[in-house]
Amino acid sequence: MPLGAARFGLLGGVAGDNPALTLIDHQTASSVTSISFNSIQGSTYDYHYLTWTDIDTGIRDNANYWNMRVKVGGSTQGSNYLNNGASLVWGSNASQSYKTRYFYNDIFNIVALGRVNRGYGHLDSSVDSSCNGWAIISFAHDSNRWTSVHTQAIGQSYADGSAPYRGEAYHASNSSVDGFYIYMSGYTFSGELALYGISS
Amino acid sequence: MAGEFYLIKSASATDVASLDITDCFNSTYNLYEVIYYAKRASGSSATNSSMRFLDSTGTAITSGYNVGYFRWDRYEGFEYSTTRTEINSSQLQATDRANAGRMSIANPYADDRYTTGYSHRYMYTDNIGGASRGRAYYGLNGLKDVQRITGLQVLGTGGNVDIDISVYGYGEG
Repeated sequence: MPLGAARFGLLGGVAGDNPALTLIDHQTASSVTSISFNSIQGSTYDYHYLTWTDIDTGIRDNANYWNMRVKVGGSTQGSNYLNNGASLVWGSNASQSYKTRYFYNDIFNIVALGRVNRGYGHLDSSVDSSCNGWAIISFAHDSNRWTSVHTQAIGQSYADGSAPYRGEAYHASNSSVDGFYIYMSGYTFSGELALYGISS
Repeated sequence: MAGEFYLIKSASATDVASLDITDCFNSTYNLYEVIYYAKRASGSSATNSSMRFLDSTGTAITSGYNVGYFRWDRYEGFEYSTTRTEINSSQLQATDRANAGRMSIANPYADDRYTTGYSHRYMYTDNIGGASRGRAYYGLNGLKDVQRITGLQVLGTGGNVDIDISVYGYGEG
């Protein structure tokens, strides 16, 4: 029997261990160009957990890039990023008989969070798309450390538009980050986003 | 409270050779999440940071690690070894450089099954094609032998580091 299961029913939790996730903000996006989290409670939380569910652009394309930038002093930052990651996407022809890996190498102006290829393989804009994923963000508010991001997402659209993504990033600056700016490159989007604080 | 995500323990230290976070694994949880950040300390010449498991006596285990990582920078690569002396090793080559990571760990405290970690981590290095570039790692951290693990050690190589580490448990009850 798993060790954890041995504790089933003991007060439903663990004496001395505190629930670590606190919802800071939830936002529903409806055909918007961006979503901002402007109150991240950075002085309270060293770590943040950002989730997004059912993100859809409504536009058939193979280049619906799902991105993030940080805010400093309320202003969205367009530089000082380091970003490496990879997604698996369908090739660029209509027959769509193959998949290929797309690498995000040394991206300096964004944090890539994922990719959505709505209906791309079938050349069919009527199929829905849904990007779902998460990011762990460390030391956003800390003025003595770079902000780091670990992210994992799946942009799903029927079968052949699906694009899994994993990526890592720094905002390579000791600036105190006070907000997160999330957007889909070139398109409006709809969906659900939530920002949690992780106690440390 | 069932199924929640619990903070078990956090530890921080600046300008140290290593930091142990002890007794953070126990019989309550099977699956854990670790978030860590190791930064080259001010004035330090540290070249790397890495991590080790602590055994049932709280002593760092210095051999017998299995690792297998996908590695992405401007090139694609991988690392695989059954003879590592540490896990999650990454380079630190200048002021403010850091190794930031998160790792899920299954079964560390159980003494009848393998401890298995899966990590994401990221570093910025000067040694990729003669340029300074980011390098991402994804992969396995494990031990060749089945044994009880009670904690983690983060350590620097070649100098001191600033370390932050937090360990969380996934509640099942």
